[in-house]
Amino acid sequence: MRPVEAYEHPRLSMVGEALLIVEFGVKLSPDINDIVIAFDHFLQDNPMRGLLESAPMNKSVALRFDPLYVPPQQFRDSVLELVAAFDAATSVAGMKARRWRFPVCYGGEMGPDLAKIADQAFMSEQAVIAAHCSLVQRVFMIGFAPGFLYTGMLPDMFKLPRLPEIKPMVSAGSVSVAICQTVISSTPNPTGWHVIGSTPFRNFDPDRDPPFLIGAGDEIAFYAIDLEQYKDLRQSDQQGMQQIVREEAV
Amino acid sequence: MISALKILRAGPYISVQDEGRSGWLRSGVSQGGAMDGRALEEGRLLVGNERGLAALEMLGLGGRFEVMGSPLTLALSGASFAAKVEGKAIDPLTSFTLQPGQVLEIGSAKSGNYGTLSISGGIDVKPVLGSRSTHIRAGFGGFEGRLLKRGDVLPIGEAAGQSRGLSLVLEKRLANEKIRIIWGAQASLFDENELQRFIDTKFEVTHEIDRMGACLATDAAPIHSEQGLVAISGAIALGDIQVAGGGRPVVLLADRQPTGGYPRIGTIIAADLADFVQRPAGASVEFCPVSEEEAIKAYHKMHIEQMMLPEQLVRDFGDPYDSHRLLSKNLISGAVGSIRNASDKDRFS
Repeated sequence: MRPVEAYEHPRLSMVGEALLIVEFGVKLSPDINDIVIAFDHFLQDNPMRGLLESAPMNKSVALRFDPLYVPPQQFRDSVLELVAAFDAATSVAGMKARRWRFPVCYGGEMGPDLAKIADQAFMSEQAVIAAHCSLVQRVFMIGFAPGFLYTGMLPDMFKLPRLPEIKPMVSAGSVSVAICQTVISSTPNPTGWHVIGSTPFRNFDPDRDPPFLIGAGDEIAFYAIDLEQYKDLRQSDQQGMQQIVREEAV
Repeated sequence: MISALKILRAGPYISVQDEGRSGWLRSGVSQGGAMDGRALEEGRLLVGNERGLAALEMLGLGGRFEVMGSPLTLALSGASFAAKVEGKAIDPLTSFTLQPGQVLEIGSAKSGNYGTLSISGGIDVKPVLGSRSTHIRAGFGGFEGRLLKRGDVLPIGEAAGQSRGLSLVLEKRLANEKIRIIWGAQASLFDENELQRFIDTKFEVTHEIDRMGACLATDAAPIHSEQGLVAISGAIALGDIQVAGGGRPVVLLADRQPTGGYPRIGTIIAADLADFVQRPAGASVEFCPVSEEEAIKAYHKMHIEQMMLPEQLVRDFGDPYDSHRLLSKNLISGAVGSIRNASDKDRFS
């Protein structure tokens, strides 16, 4: 059955002359994100003429194509045909998520905004950490920067607005929260989110094969490590790191 | 023998770039690659390289480059930079050969922003995610994932064949005064008045320009979107014009963030991107909305022009003041100029 938030018919919109967005719903929700990821798989099983790449987003799939080979109108028609052939419910039911264990060193220098969040929630830092680790999180999309993960949804105590001032640069591996979501960076970035911890793991490492490990639709279980463990893990090589975040089919 | 290019002095924003990378949007990586793809292609032809090799891209200021190992054939394209070797001026869009020990000195851009220095054999750095382009922000690709600096020694690949002594004789471009855009899917987040004001406004390119984006300024009131600030993040296209809370447009370019939640009012069409990125700080920009059909027509025209480029290669006889070459250049550009009444924007000529 179609989730209530999903559009009856996906909405197609062009961005410029070479990017087509297929949007499946208006809200950010795991159900719509499931359909997004299922449709992205469906596209990979059904190669399209002119398609250069597709990418699953929060509630849409982005399709970059070459209008030299396929005019936009023709490309839209082909996508509409695929959409018609796409059985969302069956495809979603057939999907298997991969799950990753994700070490995070919370608070202190590694997560300067944790204390503030604990204060606002009248909780101890330990309780906030426990809450952040309590639920398995879904990766909604990868965006903003290479390997940058958007996961959710967190309990209501993390329903924080973004910061009024952008932090000019936070280090690679920062784990930050806002609007009931967690974002995890692989490269140094500016951010408007609240930094609560750091992970020794890099989802993007250009020298590793494969350079990216975690994809949209995967699941993440956070667990707390202390500063010593963080430093040890940063020393270990990337193969070792893959063992630590080892994936398991759910 | 192995060749190399040593950087004796570097402008602040020189990087290794090729045609960019495709297929990594799902992992948060935009295409990147040369800011002016046409200039990359022109340089490639002039030095006789296969497609896909990397060149140097310079924003505003060049540097001093010394050839090491065996001789190299080089060419300058894109924005027009003052350049000389041993006191002798180097023409743009003309390939020339330097012997080991010879030094190429590239000054500042006389018009435009991004200059391309192409080298026979290409810059031989390891491709990362299928491309040699430098992703400066994320620090990978190109030469050590960063901008070049004094003392760097760039390995140069083996040249495919002899290619020196070629010039490209291009028609003067009929520069569009206005940059053409397609309205964005999120244009509906702005009300009609604001869309009209966006079209009526003469913006100015600011000094905040780099590979990620170009900030525009205007004395007019900021473009306003109430609903726009709550949009959920989605994919950003090359040339998207983002209007964030401050109401000042930012054009998102090769190394842009691949996703974002701020509303984009429109997208610069592919055919006008090179023209836009070459407009220097202080230049004015006006936008003009066109239909998808017109954008595609312009895109095809650009592609055909690029395919015809080899036809415009002229053999050079070595001496930059050679009468034959001078004659052929004047004849062609003169003829075209009179027919098409080319504008003063001759930065690609």
